[in-house]
Amino acid sequence: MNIPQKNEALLLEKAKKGDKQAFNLMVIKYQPRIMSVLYGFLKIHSDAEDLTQQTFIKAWTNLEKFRGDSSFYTWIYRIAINLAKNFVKKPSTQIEKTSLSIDEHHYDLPEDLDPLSFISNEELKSDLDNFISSMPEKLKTAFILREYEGKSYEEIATVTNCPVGTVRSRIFRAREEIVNYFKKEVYETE
Amino acid sequence: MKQNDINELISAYYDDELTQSELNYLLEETRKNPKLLSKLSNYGLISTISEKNEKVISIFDNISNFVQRRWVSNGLTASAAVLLTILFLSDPFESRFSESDQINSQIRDAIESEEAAKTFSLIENDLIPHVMSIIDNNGKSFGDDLAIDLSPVGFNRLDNNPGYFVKGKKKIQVRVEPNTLGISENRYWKSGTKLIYLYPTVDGKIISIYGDLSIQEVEKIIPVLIK
Repeated sequence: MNIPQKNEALLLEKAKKGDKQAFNLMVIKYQPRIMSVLYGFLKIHSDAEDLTQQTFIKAWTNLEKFRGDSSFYTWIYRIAINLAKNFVKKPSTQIEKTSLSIDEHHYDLPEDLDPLSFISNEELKSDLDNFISSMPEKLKTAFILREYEGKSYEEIATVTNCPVGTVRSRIFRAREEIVNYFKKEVYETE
Repeated sequence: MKQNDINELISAYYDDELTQSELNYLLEETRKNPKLLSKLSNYGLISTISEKNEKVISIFDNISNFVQRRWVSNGLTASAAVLLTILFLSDPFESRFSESDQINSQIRDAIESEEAAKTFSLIENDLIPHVMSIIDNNGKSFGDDLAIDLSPVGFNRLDNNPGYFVKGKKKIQVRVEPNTLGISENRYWKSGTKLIYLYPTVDGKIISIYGDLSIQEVEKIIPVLIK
């Protein structure tokens, strides 16, 4: 059957059976949000980065305990907050990088755009808003309905009177344009 | 499948819109090429930036009345009040507020929200870590503490805990240390019977007093300490 499933639930099932790549797919989408929250607490890039890694490692090692009562994001968010609270209360505490690692080595986070350099830049929100305003109307509408209004592809298809596949393609193209904009305009002017 | 098609799958996965077969395919592709995950992180970054600065204030809409009713201060920012409330509520050994479990639970949830985390980032001075260290103090002595004599105001030092002083049933903590906070005026925070009082001396030290005290009582203790 070609019916969209709750992607996270399917991945969780695999991850609980030890599929690390399924777990990676689950957590990496939240990496910038977790880093942003931790940076808000700690105000130090390296600490935010280290605690983000520790959050993911702790989530992996405790995955059996996640029962799905809350969303997966809420669960890892709480892990991150608790780590940050403990870290702030006892700043001398060393972050355990080795003993908690998934494969007995550092947890590698994907690198392309550097999340921390973006998260700590307060001006980017208005840059993003300005760029979205300048995008082609169809891409802009699909992206805003998804990203800001939280509409499903099917709902967007109904509103914009086009096939779901077209909506999916427009949202993807909008995201690519934004990523390319940040790569060219922001990185190259730094 | 072309690279662009795989990237489109990643975008749809980000939106939780893949079919099971597409998800399995994507999983296998990322297994072969883990660098594809950076695309996923980039999409997450766009969402994070678009959320920035939004909803930061909403936490106060929910809990500001609770927080501000309980803290009296001569210099307490709203965000600092929230953080102090967290410290008190997160102490498992002492019920600092006589509120119902339901209210405390609601506040805990609000405090652990993403909006709260962003709010904390607005705290702009070093006072809170200092106050936290006073609340969490476990009897650690700070240099000049041992020279403190509060007997003129009726407080005697606890033998096994040099930073603490007792007067009848009253127990207070007093610390004297270099003023690294940069404050030049006295500051205090009071909730119920608990008072935290910071007093910067002219010779570059900071006196911190914490316990069941009134401001009037502290104002009698300070002259003894700076003699």
